[in-house]
Amino acid sequence: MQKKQEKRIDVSLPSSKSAEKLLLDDKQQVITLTSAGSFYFQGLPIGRSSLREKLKSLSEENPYIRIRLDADKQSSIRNVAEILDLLQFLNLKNVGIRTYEERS
Amino acid sequence: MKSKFSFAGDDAEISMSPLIDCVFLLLIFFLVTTMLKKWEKQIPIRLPEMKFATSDFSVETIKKLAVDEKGKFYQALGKDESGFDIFSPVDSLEEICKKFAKAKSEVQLVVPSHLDFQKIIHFLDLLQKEGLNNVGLRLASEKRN
Repeated sequence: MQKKQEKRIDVSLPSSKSAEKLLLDDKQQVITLTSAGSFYFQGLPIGRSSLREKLKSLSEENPYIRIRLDADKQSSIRNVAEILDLLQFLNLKNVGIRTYEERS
Repeated sequence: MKSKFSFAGDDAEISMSPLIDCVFLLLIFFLVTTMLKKWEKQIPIRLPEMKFATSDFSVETIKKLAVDEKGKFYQALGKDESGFDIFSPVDSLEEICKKFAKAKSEVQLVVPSHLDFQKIIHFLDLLQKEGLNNVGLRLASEKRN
C-alpha cells in the first residue's frame, strides 16, 4: 500500500462536547479556515471566488456530497458564517464542522 | 506379512519450520493489507432551508436568546419603538432552556460577530447540555457610535 501524502495546514480545531463520532468519509471535501482568515480547499490555498466556483461545480455534480469544515478555533465566526452561507446558497446540505478529538 | 511402510518409532516428528513460515507470511500479509477504520469528531450542521415570501413560518415565533462575550445569557422580551429587540438577563439558563425545549420552540442565539469560533461552540454546547438541540445562530452587528 502506497503512503498517501498529506498536506498539513496549521489549524487548531475547536473542542466540543456535543460533537459526534463519525466514520471518516474518503470522498468528503474539506474546506479549511485558518485563524488569519485564509481559505483552503482540499489542502490547497484558494480565494473566495474560486472556492465559490469549486463548490458550485460540486453542487451541480452531487448536492449530497459530504463537506467538512475545518475551522481554526480562533477564526472569526464571520468567516465561518460566510462559508456556511455559501454552502446553503449552493444547496450543499451535508455539512459538518470538524472538532478536536481529545485522546482518552 | 511384512508391512510396506516402515515407522521410525519414537523419532517421528512433524517439521514446524514451514508451518511457522506460513503463519508469519499470513501475518505480514494481513498487517500490510488491513485498513483500519478511521473516526473523526464532527458537529453535524443542519443549514436552514431557503425561505422566500411564501414562507408560512413567522419569524416572531422564534425564541431569541443572546449571549455576550463573558458568557452572560439574555432573553428577548419584546421590541422597542424602533423595532429592535429588548433583551433582559437570564437568571437561570437551565430553566429557560427547559421551557423552550418543552414547548419545542425554535431558538435563535444572537452572538456578537467579533467572537471567535471556539466561544460560539462553547455557548452552543451549553444550550445542547440544557436540552436545546435546534438552535439557529444569528450574528449581531457591531455597535455604531
